[in-house]
Amino acid sequence: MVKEFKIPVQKEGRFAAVRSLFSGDYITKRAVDDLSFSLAEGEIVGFIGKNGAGKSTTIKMLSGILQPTSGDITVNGIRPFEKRMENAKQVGVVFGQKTQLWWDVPLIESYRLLRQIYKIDAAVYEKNLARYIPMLGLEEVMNKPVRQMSLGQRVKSDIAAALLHDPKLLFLDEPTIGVDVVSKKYLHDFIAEINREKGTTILLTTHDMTDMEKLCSRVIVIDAGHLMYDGSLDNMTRKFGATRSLMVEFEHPVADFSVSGAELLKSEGNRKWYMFNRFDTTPVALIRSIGERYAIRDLQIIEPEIESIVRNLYEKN
Amino acid sequence: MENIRLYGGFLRVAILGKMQYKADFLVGVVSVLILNAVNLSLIGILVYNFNTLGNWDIWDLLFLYSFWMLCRSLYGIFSGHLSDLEELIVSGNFDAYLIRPVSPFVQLIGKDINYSGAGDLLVGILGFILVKTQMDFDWGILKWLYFGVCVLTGALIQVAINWIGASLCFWTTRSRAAMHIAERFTVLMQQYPVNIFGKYFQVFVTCFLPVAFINYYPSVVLLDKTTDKLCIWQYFSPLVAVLMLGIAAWVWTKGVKRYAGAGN
Repeated sequence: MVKEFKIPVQKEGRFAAVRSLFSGDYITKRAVDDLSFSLAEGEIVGFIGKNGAGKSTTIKMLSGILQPTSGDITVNGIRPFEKRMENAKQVGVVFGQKTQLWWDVPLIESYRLLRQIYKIDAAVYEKNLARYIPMLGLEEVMNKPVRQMSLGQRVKSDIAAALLHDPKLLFLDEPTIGVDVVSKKYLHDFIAEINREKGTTILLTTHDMTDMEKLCSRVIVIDAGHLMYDGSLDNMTRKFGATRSLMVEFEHPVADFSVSGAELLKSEGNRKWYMFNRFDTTPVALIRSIGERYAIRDLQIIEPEIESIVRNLYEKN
Repeated sequence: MENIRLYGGFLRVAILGKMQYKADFLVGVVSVLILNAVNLSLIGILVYNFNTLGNWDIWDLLFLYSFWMLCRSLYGIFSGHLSDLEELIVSGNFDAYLIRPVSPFVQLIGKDINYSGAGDLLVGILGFILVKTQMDFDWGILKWLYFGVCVLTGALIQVAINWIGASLCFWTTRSRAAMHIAERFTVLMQQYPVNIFGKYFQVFVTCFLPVAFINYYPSVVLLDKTTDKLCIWQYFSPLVAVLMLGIAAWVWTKGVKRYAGAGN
């Protein structure tokens, strides 16, 4: 799919604002450029990329808010833009930065109205509420207006709201942004549990690496609207996290020395850290060449953090 | 039918939300009352000095004004917040309207209800009672019915004008300035009989921005101000309301489509 936006050209010089208003000049920006992917039923997929990479635009196209400029989208057999209402019934969408709940009324009133909007069966509604409220710890906020809630409470309320009608798919756009650690843990457990229990397919955009580690078996990375990576989280580590490090603890203090194929990072007491590229050297070779010279007490192979991998990914382009 | 049920649901939540700000409500009603009292007395002074405007005396003018207040209050109470669309689009909150399986218009119109319009309603009713005691017109059932219908269609014409105005932000993002001008214009001209203005102006408010159908033409009919020649369009208010609502709905639908195409 492709999504282009037209941005009016800002004129320069005298009466610039007025002339811009009447000129028909646009530059076309491709927010999503030839992006293609599919989700299997019941998957939780992390959708990552830096700000402005096209994540939200993609989510908006999947929810039927925006129409693709070209290309095709089907969500569970429905083209979201052609049948926005029908699509709305089978998906749930949460934008972490904006609430979709009614600001001034107690939370329960928002839920009642959603029940009416989605025509949720009374039994299903009661059952879902009874399940979601304790899981998310929402008991104390049910009678609180959204405007009085903390960010964590608000996001939890929003996610429960998006799941009241048992959608087949759930799109979460940066659900954990700015959320405290405790609430984040609630959210992770909840999302994982709902996915297991109901088989809800979940697409989650995030900048938070713990979200991905806790929830996503598969990640899709996009940059400038292009697909950069689509595969398992482990594979991403292997493919893009080329540098690993090896910590060696010696029996006795040892002067700094160099090993071929690795770089000495730091020394601390009896310990030394060596950085190496997984495609050039294996840890076994390293250990052997060090072990030939000095007595080793302990070893540890340190994998790169996902965060640094993603940083690498972003910077590569 | 489904939409009306949902509208009720949205309205219920809007009212529940409003009840959190009671002081705001009171201040709103009181300020509208004061505003209208000032307005009325200004016209009173004018008419008292001139006695008549065209062939309209002070009670005719009060009738015209009260008629407009009734239309305006209905419009204001139920749809005065149409202009919030601009804010919804600028903030991106309109997106939320598109991810629910409900017509976005039902959501927009159901998002609020403006109690302060009750001030206008009160002025309209008081004014009308005053006129009725002074003029003591004797209407048959048909005239009363026509009066009721025209108050409703007058409100609907105003809804349609503002609906179109608000929908313009799908193209321009900001449309408050245009709406403000239209609003000022409407306010100005609803207080005076259209026939005191020039010919081109009369054509303009009849054919292009049909605000003359809100209260002027119905008042002409109801007060028997019809001049010798028969002007059939004086009875067209209900027709104009339907037509204008049709145009408004069309512009709105185009606008929503454009929003999805162009994004924000």
